[in-house]
Amino acid sequence: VASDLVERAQRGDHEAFDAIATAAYHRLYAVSRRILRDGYAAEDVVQEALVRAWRDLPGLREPERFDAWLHRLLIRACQDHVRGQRRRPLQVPVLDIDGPIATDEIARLADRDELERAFLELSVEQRAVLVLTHYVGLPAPEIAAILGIPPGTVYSRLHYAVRAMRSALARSGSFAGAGPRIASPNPEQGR
Amino acid sequence: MNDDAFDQILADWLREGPERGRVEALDRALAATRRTSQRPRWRQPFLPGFAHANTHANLAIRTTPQARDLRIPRRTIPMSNALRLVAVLAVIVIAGVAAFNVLRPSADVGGISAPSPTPTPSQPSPTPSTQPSPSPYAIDPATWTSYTSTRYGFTIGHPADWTVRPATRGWSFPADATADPYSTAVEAFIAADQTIAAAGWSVTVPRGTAADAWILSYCLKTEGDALSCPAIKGRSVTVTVDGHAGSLLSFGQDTQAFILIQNRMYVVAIWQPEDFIPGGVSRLLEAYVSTMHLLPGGPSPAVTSPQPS
Repeated sequence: VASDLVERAQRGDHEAFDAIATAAYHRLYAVSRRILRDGYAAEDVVQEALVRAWRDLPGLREPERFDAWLHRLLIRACQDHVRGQRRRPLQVPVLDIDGPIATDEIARLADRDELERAFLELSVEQRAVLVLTHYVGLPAPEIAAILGIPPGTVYSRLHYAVRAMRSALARSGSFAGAGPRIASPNPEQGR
Repeated sequence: MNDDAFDQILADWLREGPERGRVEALDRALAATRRTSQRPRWRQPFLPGFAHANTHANLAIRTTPQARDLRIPRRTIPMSNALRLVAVLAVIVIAGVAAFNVLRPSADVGGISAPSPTPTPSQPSPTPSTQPSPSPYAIDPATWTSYTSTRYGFTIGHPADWTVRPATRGWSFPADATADPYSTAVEAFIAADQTIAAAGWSVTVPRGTAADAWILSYCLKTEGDALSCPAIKGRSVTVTVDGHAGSLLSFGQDTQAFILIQNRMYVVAIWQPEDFIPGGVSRLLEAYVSTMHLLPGGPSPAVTSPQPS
């Protein structure tokens, strides 16, 4: 994002902010949809993140770091959303399996379903690290800057998230190759 | 399955699904931002890593407890469990006595501690008067406190409960033309609830400079908008300070008054958009300007730094 657009938006220029938000919108949506696994929830948290960004933009002292700051706000909005949903049952999307499907296709859908369940068992912080690493493709130091945590914590969250997913998949019997390892207590869970 | 293979499965799975949100959701989000006011800097929540350049040093400062002075012991007496119990009981007793004194019924409504005098029928008891609570933005300069700025050569009033943060250095143009409520070059007045702030300062201008020309150059520097700045003159409202006329102008996020007297420009600003308070921020600014008076000797030379032309 161009720094001059950010600086104009900081001074209350709505058109400049609209340009920034429009450029970032699909990227933010894609990231939040993957963290929350729900398209409508993703739209809501993107809106929340953009409103917070507009409201707090005058306080951003380094306009060149706007992108990282916006991602931070997005992850926080995801956390707030999940906290609000915590007491509700998990919403796992129903996979479309109408019609004849080959045996390997059924197995593939079942695997995706198990991946979905295992992923939703992770904390939002762990999901965010997985998505920023494996979907956005950011290196750990950059993720650390976005989340405001040390790079070492990024590595540990990633490690425990992958381990927890592998363990959940092993328990369910999916991904036979996932291995019978038992995950050690996860210090990140439930934060 | 090795880690790399699992990572690949994870990455492939994450890539599935839509990558573009609905346009109507974007429109809704943009409309929501239009209904939202920006929060001035001094009200921002602390966000580690973004206030300063050094993310982790900043984070470390906030998460590391300060070390105690080694010469001062943490406790002078070792605290046993019995002592803790005594301390807790003492707190409970003190709290109980305090609560009894506050909550016990008073004698004139049937208290048992003192006999109440028989009321005389011909003298009705006085009706308790109710004081209306003042609005946080009540504008009544008659009740304000005066502040003298020897640095900038004026006195100005401010609501008594607003905090004064005096300038610690001289304001210079164009370096300080940033519309920054945090600037240390302005005499700042901050509301008790910290939602709004005012500022005053002055600066010498080259002899012969017209007020409108200076205001235009100031606007171009603070707003960076060559299109809207030339039009601001048409939106100005006249204000006066000690008989000298000046202009009050509403910018996007703040409202400011400019009074040029001889070769010195006096500026008073309110750092909030016009619609932030009922009746408008301009009304509050006008009240500030109405309390402003020039010091006979002008700014103190000891604290006034020379200004570039």
